[in-house]
Amino acid sequence: MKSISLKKLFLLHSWVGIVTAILLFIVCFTGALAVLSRPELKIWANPELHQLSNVPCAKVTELINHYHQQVPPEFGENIHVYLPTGHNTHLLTILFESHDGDENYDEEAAYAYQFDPRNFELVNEYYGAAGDFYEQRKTDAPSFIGHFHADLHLGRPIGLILTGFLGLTLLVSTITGLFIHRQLIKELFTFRRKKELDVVVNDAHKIMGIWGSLFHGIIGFTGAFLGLATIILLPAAAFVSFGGDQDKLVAKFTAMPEPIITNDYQATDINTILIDAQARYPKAKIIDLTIMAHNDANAQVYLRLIGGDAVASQLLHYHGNGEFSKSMSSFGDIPGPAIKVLELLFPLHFGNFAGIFVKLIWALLGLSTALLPLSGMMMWLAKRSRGSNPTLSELAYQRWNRSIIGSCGGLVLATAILFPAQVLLNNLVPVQTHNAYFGPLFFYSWLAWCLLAVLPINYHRYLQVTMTLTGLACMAVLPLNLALSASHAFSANNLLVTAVDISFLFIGGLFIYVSNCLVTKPLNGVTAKATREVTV
Amino acid sequence: MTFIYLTLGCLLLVASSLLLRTANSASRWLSLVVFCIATACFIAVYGNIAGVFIAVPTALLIGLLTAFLLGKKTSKQ
Repeated sequence: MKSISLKKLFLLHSWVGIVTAILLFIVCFTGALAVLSRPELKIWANPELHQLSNVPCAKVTELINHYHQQVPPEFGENIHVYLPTGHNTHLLTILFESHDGDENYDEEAAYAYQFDPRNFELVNEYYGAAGDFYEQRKTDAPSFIGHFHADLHLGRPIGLILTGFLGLTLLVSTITGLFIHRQLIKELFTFRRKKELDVVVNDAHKIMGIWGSLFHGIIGFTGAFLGLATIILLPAAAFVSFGGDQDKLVAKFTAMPEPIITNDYQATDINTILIDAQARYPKAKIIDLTIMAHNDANAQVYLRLIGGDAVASQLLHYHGNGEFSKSMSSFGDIPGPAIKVLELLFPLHFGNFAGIFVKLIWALLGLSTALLPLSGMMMWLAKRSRGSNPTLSELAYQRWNRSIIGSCGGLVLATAILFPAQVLLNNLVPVQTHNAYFGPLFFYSWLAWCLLAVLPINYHRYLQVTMTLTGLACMAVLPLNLALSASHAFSANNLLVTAVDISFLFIGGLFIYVSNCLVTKPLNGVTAKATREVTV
Repeated sequence: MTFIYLTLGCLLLVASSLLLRTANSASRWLSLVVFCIATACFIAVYGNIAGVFIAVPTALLIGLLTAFLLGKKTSKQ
């Protein structure tokens, strides 16, 4: 490739990286955590789910039948059952929905009943607009981070478009990076950790980029698709094929078409259906059910399954009498290789297709994706602040470093704070008010840490304090759980909580160890001159 | 059995990564062969598609960790 083209690619790589670096770090770091958020961290965050095995099918059937009699008949058109698996709600939720509303609501209305999965006691009742029910669902630290990763809590469509475009920039940076560093095999193991900091960062950026290129590319592509599909691709497809009618497009490709209600009574055999699904796919987990025209001769039941031998999530279709109809993708029973590829995009992005082993791989590689823009930015700053004629003054270099530590380190700290806060909330605050705490706690702590960057403090010290506080927040989880909660790391049959609490302790210890290393072994190289700065 | 296959797969990937670190053509080919055997271990646990989807990122992660921990092989080594 001509050197002029390489120079252009290098410029594109640099500027795309610089402009999006901090946002990319935010999305990638929260994404790496979000991989573990459902169901593992969500189960950890909700004591109701701690020691839960399979939900008894007969009990679920009994509850559906019992509460169906308590709601007006039109609310039996659509019944959604969210099983307490850690993928949806933390309680067993049965939601009776009427598409056309009722005398009080013109829009979709719902009656919802939520039960404690340990003893099936009714915990919460809801009647109102269906959309409001989903918006007001109880959140927790892992779900909060998961939603933040998806749309940065900017709402939809703005948040989704932004994360979608960040996925595209990640893809562009990965491809241009591969062209720039053509000597891939030569640089595969080049990591000189005993050299100056700028050499270490340079090498780390290259090896993370080269080794992780395939992963970064896939995450960038799938992330762009997930962010932009419903906002841009769906309207575009509707415009091309359905004269702009999105509803028509959705109706054409929906996996769960509305059945015609005959008004002939026939009991819907949910118990048999649940048992049959478990027998057919013993390794998979049923996460929710949709029952259409319940107790009608034309009733249809759809079960969403995740895990097992299938890479993508699958939808099982049963007739109301318990007869199995078919297994299909979540997009419906559409033939063709394009749908097969499309359905693989989701598990490839979420890493949820083969249990905890894959999730850990995804989380670690995701962290390397998050570190790439950060190391790239450090290289860019170092390059401009060294040599006989630097374009970046020493003061500007320090300000840049502080702003990176404030924004990126602040995000890590704010995220770490959410977990001990979750333990405190679980034990000291009524469940109904939990939702009000996570947003302010996360954003105000992050904002406060960002504002500290304005002060002319030594950025080494700033980094060290950030890491120490993050470590302390992580390490606080286990003792807090032990002191306050009845279901803690040392309770019997509580393997997941034990693993998560000990992991937090280990990660916290690691943060504190690294922050101590920063003191005993001050950063050298290009940053050495920058240490001669105004210190408060 | 799953645990044994996963451990074996990971150990083979470490071996593959170490072989790739040795800068000669024969060891690189051998590294590829070892990687294929490791992939077979993952396929045995997760099936064809998922097995490959897991083997490749695991190899990438182990390669990255090898690079971070051991660095480039020098002539003294």
